[in-house]
Amino acid sequence: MGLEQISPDEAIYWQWGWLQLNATILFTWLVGSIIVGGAWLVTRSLKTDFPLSRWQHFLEIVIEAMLGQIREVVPSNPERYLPFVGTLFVFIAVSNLLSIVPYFHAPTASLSTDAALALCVLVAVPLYGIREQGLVGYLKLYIQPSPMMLPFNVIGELSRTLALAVRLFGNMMSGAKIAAILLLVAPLLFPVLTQLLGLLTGLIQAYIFAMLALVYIASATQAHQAPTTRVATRDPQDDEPQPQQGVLHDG
Amino acid sequence: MIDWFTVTAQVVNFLVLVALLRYFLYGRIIGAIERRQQRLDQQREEARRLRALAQEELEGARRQHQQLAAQKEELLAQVKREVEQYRQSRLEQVREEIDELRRRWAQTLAEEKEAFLREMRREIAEAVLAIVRRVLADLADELLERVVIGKCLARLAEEDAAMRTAPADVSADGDRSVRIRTSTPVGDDVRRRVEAAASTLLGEGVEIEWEVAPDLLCGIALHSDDQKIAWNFRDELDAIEQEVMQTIEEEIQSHQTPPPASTLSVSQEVKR
Repeated sequence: MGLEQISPDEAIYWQWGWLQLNATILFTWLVGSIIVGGAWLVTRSLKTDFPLSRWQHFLEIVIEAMLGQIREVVPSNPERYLPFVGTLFVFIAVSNLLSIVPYFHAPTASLSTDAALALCVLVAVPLYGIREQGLVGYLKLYIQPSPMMLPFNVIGELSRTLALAVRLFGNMMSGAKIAAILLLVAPLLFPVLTQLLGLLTGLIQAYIFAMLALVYIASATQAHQAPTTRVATRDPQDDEPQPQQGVLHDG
Repeated sequence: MIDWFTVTAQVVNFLVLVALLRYFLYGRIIGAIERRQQRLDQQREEARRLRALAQEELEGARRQHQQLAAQKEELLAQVKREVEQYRQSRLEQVREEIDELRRRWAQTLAEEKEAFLREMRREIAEAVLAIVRRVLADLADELLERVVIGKCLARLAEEDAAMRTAPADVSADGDRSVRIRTSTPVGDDVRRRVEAAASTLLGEGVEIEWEVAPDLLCGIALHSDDQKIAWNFRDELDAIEQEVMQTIEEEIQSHQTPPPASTLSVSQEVKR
């Protein structure tokens, strides 16, 4: 894929009619295989007794951290949102981190991938909302605080999905393209710095995307809960510290 | 810019990835964490239970230890009291036994002393009387006997009526024999005086039988059937001996004394 190709969608490796295998799909499969393969390798020999393997420690730390983040936004039953939000984060993070590998094209640099993820969020938000509050309860959100707000709410729902997709695409695409351009202009030092910056940006974008999706879902599932600030409590009978509960920020 | 086929494919890819990770990653990891947490909770609960049990056991052991210590002190004090009582009783018993032994010893000593004194006095008296008897026997001869018989006849003449009348009564019964004993053969003059005196005393016609009896030592004895009139050393000495012995017995009885004071002082020393 050359510099002129702004999206990996345009790098088509195989096509049969309308069916095509481009770089986005291929590298998505690669990323998915790495993630699922690694998870399978680690989780096939999980232990409940100490000592644990270092990879099990690593995965438990990652998942506990994600659960902690989810719990800060959705205190009740955070495990319900972990597969969707966690997969968003893991997929985007691994894709962005692997972009440092030569000849690897991050699927997230494709607007199609970002749009697909945004569409998933767009569908997941009402699904979670209806699951939590029922169909009527969820639909009532669109006429809050007054029916006059219905068009604005619908527009807001769509626009934030578009914003999700474009934000991720812009960051990832720009990072890759800037690195490619700097490689031409100053091939010795700047691309390294830019790649390091790209790693940081990629993790931040993965975090932002997952958190925004979580906030959207939370706003749909917990809109009926008036107080959004929950004070941290601690049960004196329990020795284990409760996770810190913070302020719920709506995106 | 947006390839909708790719978008659709990516949606499918993402959903498949969510499903795979839900099975291979989240479910397993969370399950392992929950199982471990449950296990830790069980262990912690077990540890709490064991700690409570241990605390309870410790309290019980402490109470039991205190009770045992108290019982030990009590038993020790009781044993000390019993030992002291036993010691006092044994000491008292030993003192009583010692006192009894001393009392018996003193009594035995006094009895032995008394018996010794009695025997010694008796032997002394007997020895004295034997000496007197021997001396008198040595001194006794015809002359002395003549004097004694003379004295006897003189006294016969002066005897009271009882001494004279009783043989007369006996003689009145028809038995008129009188046996006259002397320590040595006497002369005829003496015989005549005696026979005259006997006739005076017993009446005429009395049959007189003379007999020599050296055991009389010195003197004379008149024997009728149931009466005796005598004046001789043997009878006098027998009377004196009897009287001396009686006097000695009375004196011993009057001089029996309580146990000596030294016995009490020795007993008190033993108690201390």
